[in-house]
Amino acid sequence: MSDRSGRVSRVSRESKFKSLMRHRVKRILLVSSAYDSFVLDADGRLTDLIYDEYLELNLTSTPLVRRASTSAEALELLRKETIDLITIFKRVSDIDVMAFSLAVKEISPTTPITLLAYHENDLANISQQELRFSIDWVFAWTGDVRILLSMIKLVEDRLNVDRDTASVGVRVIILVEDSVKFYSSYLPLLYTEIMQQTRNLMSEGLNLDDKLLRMRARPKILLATTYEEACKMVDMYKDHLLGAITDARFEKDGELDGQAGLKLISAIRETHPDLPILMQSSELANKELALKEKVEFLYKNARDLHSSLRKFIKGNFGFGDFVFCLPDGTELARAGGFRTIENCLKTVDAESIRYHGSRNHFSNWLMARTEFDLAAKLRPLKVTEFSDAEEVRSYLVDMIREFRHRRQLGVITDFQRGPFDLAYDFVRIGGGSLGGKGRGLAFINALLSDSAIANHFEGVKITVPFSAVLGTEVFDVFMQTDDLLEFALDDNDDEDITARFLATPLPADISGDLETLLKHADFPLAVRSSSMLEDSHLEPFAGVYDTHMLVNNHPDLKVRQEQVEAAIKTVYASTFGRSAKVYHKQFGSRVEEEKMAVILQQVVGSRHGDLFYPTFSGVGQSYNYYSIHDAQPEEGVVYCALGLGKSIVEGMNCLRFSPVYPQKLWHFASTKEMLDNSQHEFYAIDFNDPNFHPQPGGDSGLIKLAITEAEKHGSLDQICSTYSPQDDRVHTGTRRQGIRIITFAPVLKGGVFPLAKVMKYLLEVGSDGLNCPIEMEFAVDLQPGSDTTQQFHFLQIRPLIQDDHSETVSIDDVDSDTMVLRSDMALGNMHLKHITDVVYVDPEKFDRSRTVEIAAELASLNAHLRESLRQYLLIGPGRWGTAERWLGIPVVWDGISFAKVIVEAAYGDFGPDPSFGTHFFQNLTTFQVGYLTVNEMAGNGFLRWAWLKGLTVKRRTEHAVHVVLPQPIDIRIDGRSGRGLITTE
Amino acid sequence: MSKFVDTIMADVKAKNAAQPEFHQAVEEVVESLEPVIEKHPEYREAKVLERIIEPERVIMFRVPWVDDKGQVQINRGFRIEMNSAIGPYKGGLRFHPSVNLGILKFLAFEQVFKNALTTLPMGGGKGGSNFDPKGKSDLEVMRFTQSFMSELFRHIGPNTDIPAGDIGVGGREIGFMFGQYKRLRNAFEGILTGKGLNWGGSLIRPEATGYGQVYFAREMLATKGETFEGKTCLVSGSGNVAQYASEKVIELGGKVVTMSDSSGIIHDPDGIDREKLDFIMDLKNVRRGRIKEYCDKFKSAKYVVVDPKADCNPLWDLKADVALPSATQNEINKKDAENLIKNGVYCVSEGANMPTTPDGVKVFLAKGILYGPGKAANAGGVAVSGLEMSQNSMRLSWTREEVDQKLDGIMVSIHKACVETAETYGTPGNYVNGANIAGFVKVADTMLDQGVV
Repeated sequence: MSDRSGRVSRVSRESKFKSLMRHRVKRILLVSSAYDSFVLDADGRLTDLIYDEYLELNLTSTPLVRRASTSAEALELLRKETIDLITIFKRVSDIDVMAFSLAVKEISPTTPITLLAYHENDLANISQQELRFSIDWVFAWTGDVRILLSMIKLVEDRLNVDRDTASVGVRVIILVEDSVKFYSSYLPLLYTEIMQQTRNLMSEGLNLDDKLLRMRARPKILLATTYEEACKMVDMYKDHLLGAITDARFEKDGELDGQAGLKLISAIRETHPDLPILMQSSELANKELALKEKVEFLYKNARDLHSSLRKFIKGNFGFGDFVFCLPDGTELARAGGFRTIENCLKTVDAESIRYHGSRNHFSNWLMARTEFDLAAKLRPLKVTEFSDAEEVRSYLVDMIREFRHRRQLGVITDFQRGPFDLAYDFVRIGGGSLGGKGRGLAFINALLSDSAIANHFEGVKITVPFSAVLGTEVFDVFMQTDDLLEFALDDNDDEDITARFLATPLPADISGDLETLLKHADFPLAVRSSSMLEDSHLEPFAGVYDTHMLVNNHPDLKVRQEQVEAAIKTVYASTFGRSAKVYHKQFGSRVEEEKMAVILQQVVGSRHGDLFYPTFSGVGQSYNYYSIHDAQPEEGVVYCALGLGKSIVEGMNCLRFSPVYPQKLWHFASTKEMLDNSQHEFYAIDFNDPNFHPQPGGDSGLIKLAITEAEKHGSLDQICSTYSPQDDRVHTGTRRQGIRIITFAPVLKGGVFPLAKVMKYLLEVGSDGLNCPIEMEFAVDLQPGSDTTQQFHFLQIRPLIQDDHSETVSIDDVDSDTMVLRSDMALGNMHLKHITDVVYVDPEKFDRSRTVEIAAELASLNAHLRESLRQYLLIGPGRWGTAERWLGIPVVWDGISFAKVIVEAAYGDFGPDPSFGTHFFQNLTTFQVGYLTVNEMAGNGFLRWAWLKGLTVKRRTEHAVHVVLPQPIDIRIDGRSGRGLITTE
Repeated sequence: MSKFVDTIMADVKAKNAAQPEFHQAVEEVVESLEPVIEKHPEYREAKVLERIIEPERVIMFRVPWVDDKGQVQINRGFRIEMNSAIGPYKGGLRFHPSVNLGILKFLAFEQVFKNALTTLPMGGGKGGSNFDPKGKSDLEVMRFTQSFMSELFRHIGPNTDIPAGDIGVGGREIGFMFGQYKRLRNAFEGILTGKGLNWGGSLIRPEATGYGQVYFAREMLATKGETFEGKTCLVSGSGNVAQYASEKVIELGGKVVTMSDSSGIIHDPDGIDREKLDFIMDLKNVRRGRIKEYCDKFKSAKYVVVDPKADCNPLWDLKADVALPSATQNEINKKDAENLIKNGVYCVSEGANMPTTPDGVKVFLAKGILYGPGKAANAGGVAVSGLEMSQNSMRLSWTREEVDQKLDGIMVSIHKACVETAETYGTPGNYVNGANIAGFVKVADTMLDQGVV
């Protein structure tokens, strides 16, 4: 299905399963005498029993049982309520079954009626003809309440079989049995076994929701009591038969026929030579006949009837291990799960593959596991269509590998110890919330489960790297240890909190889970915070909490586990860091309300000697608050850089482009601009440093290098251009001698990778999905080979806060005499009349080598203003919030948290283009902070310094001044025109 | 005389209203040429000045093009063919939103004398458009430049007018324009300079200014019977000019002890040798790092942070013989000039454009040191443009050594012209006067020769 923009709506496998079992028995009318009710109650409370049984089998929607003690009462109830099944449970002498049935059919013609006889003998007085006409099924009470479940399931199976076989190919088991007593005891056994087996097979890692959905896809059981009825079923469901279980003696052509079973077997064999068939009989003599027909035999009176049936089901309906054997029955190998069958397929004798392949064993095995899509792909294929068994092997291995990966898309798998498979993209350890980033990841994961999205671009696979989330319950348990919460909430130093957290062990079961995980996950890991409030629509804690990159390559698993646990604990500690506490203060929220989930995510990249990094990483925003010239904000913006994304988050030089017009690079208008504004350094993980040393900001394990290092690895070939000084020209690629400039030209102008198209698409899909502007992080590690399918790794998604542009602020009617500042490049939309405080970096004292000190001074002034709850106007040089201290003041957000409007001014010739770390940027927009750029020399507005200097100084530091105005200034920013001004009254 | 200047200026302003940049340029030149005009009444008679301030031809044209969104855009194109007395018009094309007729006339006027000073047969011109290359895709730039050349091609030619690059016009734009010209004319001709090496460009372009600056200094030293051998040199900047000036100084036996960037300076008393210079070239050109890193690598060097508020630059306050300002405008003020002289510097050759403030220049001239103003000392870039034309005309591509040798020859000629002119006009050793007058005299004399045209 495609919507108007050409995007494909998600039709997930889940929705397919949801469409199964449309007809459910939700209300049962039990018609019984007071005595029978008493009998039932003596056996246990019926409703409770049904409920318990449903619970045990993980079935959903427990049916409601209504009772009537007379036929009149029953009919009255039937007139008032919708009833899905009527069960007459009584001594039949008490009720005229025929008359009651006719009355029921008049009121509700389609409602099935079952008769539960207390004793088989009770049926003796009713003619078979009468029974067939008036009752859908007759059962005998065996004292086992599960018979009620079997009745419900049998009814449901009959009602749903046509639709469910047609829609996803649900399989059918035909039971041919005419003995009411026998099938009454046998059906509960059969259903329990089928459901139990189906459920067991799903233990490979799917979560509870998924398992419950898949229970709907268990094989259906159809009960036939005559030869003709059975043949009709075989014919109707010939394409979906999983197997048949048949009695030996039953009615054929209106007569009881001792050979009916054998005749049925012969009939089935004509069309289904390999169909598993079980013959059961109370006559042992039939065993030989059955074996002769190559069907299995079950003696009805055997003590081990139940275990024998289980054995047959497991062995023949694909519920058990896949047993690889040779045509002569010699067993070669067994596979219990998808991973093991994939491994076996790689090595097992080709003859065995040919043998099983030609008998649909693989597809049957898959069917039993409710993997209909894959089974359906395999089933129609004939072994003869392949050139040899090796080709079959290769085909099967590829199919199953791909399936294993696809199966996990969109599913958050609950982590389980024991065999663990990294093909699962997203696992959860511990309960509770996934946190902000975790929610985002879950959303992407679900989004990409739709192959139409994941494979939207030819030659590109959009995917999420392996991620495990420690739910917030783990944090809760951890915080309850040793009064940790109280200590963290006290005004202790960040270092003390971190030390205390590091000294506290994680819950033992979580450590165990991590150990299992790390046995397999021996690749570099990003340990990211994912708090409940982080990245939410209104509260951007982005960048406040820690993220650590772990090389995770220590030869000792124990050491690796300690490192990961230490990283998790430092992330927990950052929940109570000074920055976080300031945030909460600003929001008016409470630190103790915060809960922290932690994401362990595989770092995308390749190893280059002792370094590990992706070809490029990036951040995309679906709304561009910094749109300039003719770029439209709605086009969005993408920032990308060689190596790890930290360089972008820190505001280092990177490439910025519009995904709509990727060939227009605003910051690359000339060769000089290209040389100055392009990326010079990149981040990689250092394999030489296998130790983890927790550091604020999470720099441990990372190394910053010149881009020339990457050229040695060939990483620049596809993302850079070359400046030739002799020609004064920039050429795409690295073919020529010269200076390398990261322009992404081969990607954006050539056909190396459709980055702009992918970003445009995902920003649209993402913002549609979240219903707001979004910010996403990604990484791509380009692999050599033009035919190689490249992977686009979606790392994170979060809402990007957009200013409220609803209010129109006019700046055209302002008297220019009172104007003290004008900016033609302004962000935000506001009209403020309450600001009386201004903090500015003194242009006469400004020293670009002292920007770190200046940041600290500003933080102290901010602290004073925060104490007195006074918002202020902040004026300073260059890029605010940059990590590159030479380009501006490297403030962190809490150092200027009470600034309501920030001015980025050119100080003499110091006026770099504005640029932010992405988190800083999100905070600006979320807190609705105005941002004005003034560069008089570049023709962008003005600032009257003389006015500023004439104001009363309240406080002064070495480089900064806090002045107070007698009257509030008037600050206006017109978000639509991107202009702003400040006037004095 | 001032009455003469007033008359000229009144006429200029009347004829070229709303072109303040042009008025200013004419005023400066006319004032500086007062002694020349006084000495040569024939210039007045032939109205050489009046003619020289009037462009021979002004071409103004529409440049329509279609942007990537399919929208039609219209820019204005210009070519000022100012003076072709000594050779075909030669001067850059500038693509910048600030471009207008007045600015281009001002630039074309200055170009006439700059070119004449090189002693090469190049007239003066300038052109361009108010097109803003910022935020334009390669294809948009190509469509614009092709449209621009679709008109300009009628007016240029290898013997008529040979534009070059300027702000907003680099190798890419030159390439697109050359391609379009070739297509329209069906002729492969040297109608532009700044071309790619594969199709008629010249070697030594990046090196030209720095090399030329040092050749000029060498010539100045030679007037005192000295060479670079053993001389301590202060070099400011670390870009192209500074790097190649340093390279040439090292080659000539001098010792470069400083370089700088916008955040600070490095002082290496041991001298920046070839190996160290290679490190700087890699640092600044390839890794694009800060000059400070030099001190991390070479412990003999000291890093000093430049305080923009200070009244002087510590780089110019070091013991040395030669100063080669190669960074930016106004980097030597009066105090710096005094410091230089105090520290024994007696030769200053300007690689940057106007690196010395007028106060600073006065100090140098008053002290009578060897001061080579940028107008003459940094003419290496223009000179190599002229050499590209020569190679195109001869259908030859010279080797690096050949171009370098010819560049050297040109710088020697410029120096000689400056010295001789200064002497002729009574200010021996004053390279400022020499440079200002030499170019004019050459053009003026030629105009006299060629009659009233």
